[in-house]
Amino acid sequence: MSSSAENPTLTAEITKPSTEIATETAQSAKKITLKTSDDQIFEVEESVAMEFATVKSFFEDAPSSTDTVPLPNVPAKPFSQVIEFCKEQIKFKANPDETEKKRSNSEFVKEKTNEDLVEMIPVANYLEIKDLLDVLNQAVADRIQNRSVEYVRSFFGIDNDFTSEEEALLREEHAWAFEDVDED
Amino acid sequence: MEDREAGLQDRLSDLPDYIIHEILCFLEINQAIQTSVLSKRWKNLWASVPDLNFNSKGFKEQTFPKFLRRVISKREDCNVRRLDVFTHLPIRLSSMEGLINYAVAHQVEDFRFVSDDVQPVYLPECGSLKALFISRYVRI
Repeated sequence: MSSSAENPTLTAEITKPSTEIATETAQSAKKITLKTSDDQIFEVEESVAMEFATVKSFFEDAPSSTDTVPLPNVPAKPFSQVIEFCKEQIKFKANPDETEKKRSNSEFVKEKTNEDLVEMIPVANYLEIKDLLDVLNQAVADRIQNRSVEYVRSFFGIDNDFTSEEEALLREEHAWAFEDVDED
Repeated sequence: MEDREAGLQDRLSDLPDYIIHEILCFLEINQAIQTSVLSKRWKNLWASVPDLNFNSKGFKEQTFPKFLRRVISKREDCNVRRLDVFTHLPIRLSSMEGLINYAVAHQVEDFRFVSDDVQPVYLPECGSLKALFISRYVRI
C-alpha cells in the first residue's frame, strides 16, 4: 500500500467523462481549485467539490469565482482520502443503491488505519460532509466496541495518565458498568 | 496491524468533545462508560453523550432496570437527543418511569423502545419529541 499523501494532485485527478456525457456543456467538467493547510493544490471536479457543504456555500456567495478556495485546517493527506470517498458517493447520487452504498462505505473504512480515520474526522467535520462523518464515527466506534480498555489504549495510542491507584479506584467506581456484560 | 499502530500519536483524544460524543453515540452506553478508564481526557466524556443506547444483552431482568437508574444518576445535567432501549427481557415501559421522566425533562427528541413485553403505558407530555418508536421484540 503506497501512501496517497505522496502526490495529492494525482489522486485528485479526474476521470475522463464517458462518450455519452462528453457532449454536455463544459460546465459539467468544471474543476475547482482547492488549497490545503500544507499548501498542496487540489483540482477536483465541481460535482465532487459541491459535496463539501463549506465549499458549496463559498460558491453560493460568489458564484462566478475562479479563485483558489483555501482550506485552512485541512491537510493534504486526509483530504485526498476524503475526495476518494466523495467520488464514490456521487455515483450513488445518480444511481441510488443503499446495499451497494453500504458495501462501498465499509470497504472504504476497512482499509484505513486508525490514524487515517481519526485524521479524516476533523476534515469531514470542517467540510460538513455529514455522510462521511457518520461513516467515520461509526468506524471508530466499531474499533472500540467490545474491546478491553488496554486494547483501545494501545490501538489508538492513548496515553494512560492515571496513577495505578487512580485507575483502580475509577474501575471500582465504574464496576457496575463493567459487570453483567458479556466478555466477547 | 499492531506494529503499524505503534508509536501512533493520540489524535483521537485531540478531537473536540462534541466529535468524541458523536463517536460514543454509536456505542451502547455501558461501552461508552468503559471509555472513562482510558485516560483523564475520557473520564467524564460519556456523562454528557447526547444519545443513550441501552441494550439488555448480558443483563438479568432484575439488574437491567437498576443499571438504567445508575446511568441516569451518574449523568451530567445535559440534554438527551435520542433514547434507545432495546431489551429482549420482559421489561415494561412502566418500570422505566424514572428513565422516561429523565429523558422528557432533558428534551428528548427521539425515543425508541423495543421490549419483549409491550403494554399500553401513559407517556408524559413531551414537547421536544420528534420521533417515537415502540415495538415488540421478535425472536427470529
